[in-house]
Amino acid sequence: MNMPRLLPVLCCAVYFFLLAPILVVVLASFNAGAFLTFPPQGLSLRWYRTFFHNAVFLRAFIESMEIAVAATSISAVIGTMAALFSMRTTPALANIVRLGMTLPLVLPEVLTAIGLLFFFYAMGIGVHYSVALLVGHVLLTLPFIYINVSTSLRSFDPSWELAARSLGASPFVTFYRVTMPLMKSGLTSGCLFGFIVSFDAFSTSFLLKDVGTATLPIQLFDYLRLNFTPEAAAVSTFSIIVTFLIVIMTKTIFGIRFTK
Amino acid sequence: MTTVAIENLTRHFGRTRALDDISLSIDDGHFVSFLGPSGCGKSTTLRVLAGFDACDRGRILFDGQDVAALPPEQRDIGMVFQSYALFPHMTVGQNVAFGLEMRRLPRDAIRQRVRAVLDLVHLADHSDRHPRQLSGGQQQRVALARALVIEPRILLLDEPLANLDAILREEMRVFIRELQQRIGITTIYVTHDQAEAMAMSDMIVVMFGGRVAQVAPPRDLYECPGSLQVASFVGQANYLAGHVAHDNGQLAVVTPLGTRPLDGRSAITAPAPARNILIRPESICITPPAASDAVPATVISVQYGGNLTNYVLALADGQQLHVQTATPPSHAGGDRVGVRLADAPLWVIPDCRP
Repeated sequence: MNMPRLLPVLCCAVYFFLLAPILVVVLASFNAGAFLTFPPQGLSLRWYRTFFHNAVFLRAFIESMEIAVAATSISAVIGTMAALFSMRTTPALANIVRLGMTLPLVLPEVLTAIGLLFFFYAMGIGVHYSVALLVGHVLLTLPFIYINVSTSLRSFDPSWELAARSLGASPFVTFYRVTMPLMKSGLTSGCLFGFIVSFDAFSTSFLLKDVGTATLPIQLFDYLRLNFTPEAAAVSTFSIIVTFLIVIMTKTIFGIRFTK
Repeated sequence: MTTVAIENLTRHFGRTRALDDISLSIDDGHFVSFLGPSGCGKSTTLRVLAGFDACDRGRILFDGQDVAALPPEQRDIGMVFQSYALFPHMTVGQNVAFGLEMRRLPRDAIRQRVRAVLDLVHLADHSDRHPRQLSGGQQQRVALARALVIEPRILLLDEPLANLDAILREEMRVFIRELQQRIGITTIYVTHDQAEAMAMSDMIVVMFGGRVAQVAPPRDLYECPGSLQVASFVGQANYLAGHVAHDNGQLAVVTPLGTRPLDGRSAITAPAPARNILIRPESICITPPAASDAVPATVISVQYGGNLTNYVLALADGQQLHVQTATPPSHAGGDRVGVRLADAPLWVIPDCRP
């Protein structure tokens, strides 16, 4: 076979299988009919209207956003500190930190979630006040922040910080003016990954959520067990759009370039 | 401007003594090099002076003020790193302005001083470039400008030429030395390259194993080393067994290659038996084998070096001699020749028996 000519075909096929389901969901959300079918029976925005008037879905959406923002923020601080520590300490200690920080990525999500569930009940806290849920999501997002920040620090020259100090900058100003700007791209993409992973998480949220609350993926799952209307597709499309908006916003605000 | 005094500086890393009771004083406006092999403590000394590393014991005095407890940002130093350490996310102008911004100077004053110092290092039209767009030599000069623009009390340079190629290194040597003399700033320079230290310094501090072996101006260091270790580190050296004796009422050094007066800088005041005599390769002359006062020798190898020729010769007793002449090679391996000492006083290495 002629490989160079086969390659673009293969690429297109891969993209098709990856993106076609998403396209189907988006198209199905504009369905005018009463059932989630494809191709859609007529075009309408009625299921979006239903969604925006559905308090349960809206609450779940806000809950998801809150958890994702809170978890990513906490992870950003812990992950960045850990990445800076790994850079400055001995290689042996750095390896131990790296292992600890990336462990949540290696262990099955369900196992981590069950472990946390037992732990929080043993502590007498249980799943109240979303503490367990938040801790679970922090664990989920931590590896992404740690890995991304570590990567952007790989080419970091410790002399940069010393130079800043010798020029009269305090440790805080050195961090703010030199260290931070040089790891910004890693931190931003790490937060982005973390946010999306948290927004999307199912097992962790399912096991650790407080009674009566639900994140968007769980609400969607609950809904689809009993209903089969295009409203589910509308909710999905809406969260795709929100995710996209967040990526674009971060890109413009922090001006990160995805190529170096 | 500024004098520097180091008193009993000691620093341990675990159980090894990186700095072992270093004491030293540096005159205002002097260019002092710390010279030694890697791991001798010269870089540690610089880091302790800059405040990047603490010392376990000792005092560091800038103009009599003890700065040992101050963090680096309060020591008022200018530092140039081996990797230059230019901030990659800032332009050349922003890099140079950084130290002035930390000192909260008005914006106009900053702009003026940045322009002036970039003029000084011939990079005035590179102000808006990023460091990665500059050559190694240009980055070096930006690093120098960034350290000098804050008008620090002392300038610290940590092997700044190590990453440059040979020709540029020679150029920068002259440039840095000239700039330093023009500004008159007290400068401490760390290097493992003895030629670099000799070419630039007013004073050289030779260090071995965390201790100061000798402090001397370049010429004294080369001609009158205090120990075998120093003599061998600073240039090539031959050692002949000899002794000091009276000769016509003066002290003279008697060696297998002949007798010459004792160097006036020597502390030896009486005849002394069995000493190591330092003979630099350029103070041995090659003569025809039958010359009157020559000692016979055999050429072992010849190395042509353009302006200089290096020979390895063997005396009758098997001792090898390194000889350097300023003439093109006139002998080949296996030739029989004669050697005699140049007519100059000889240095006896103190407290060192063959």
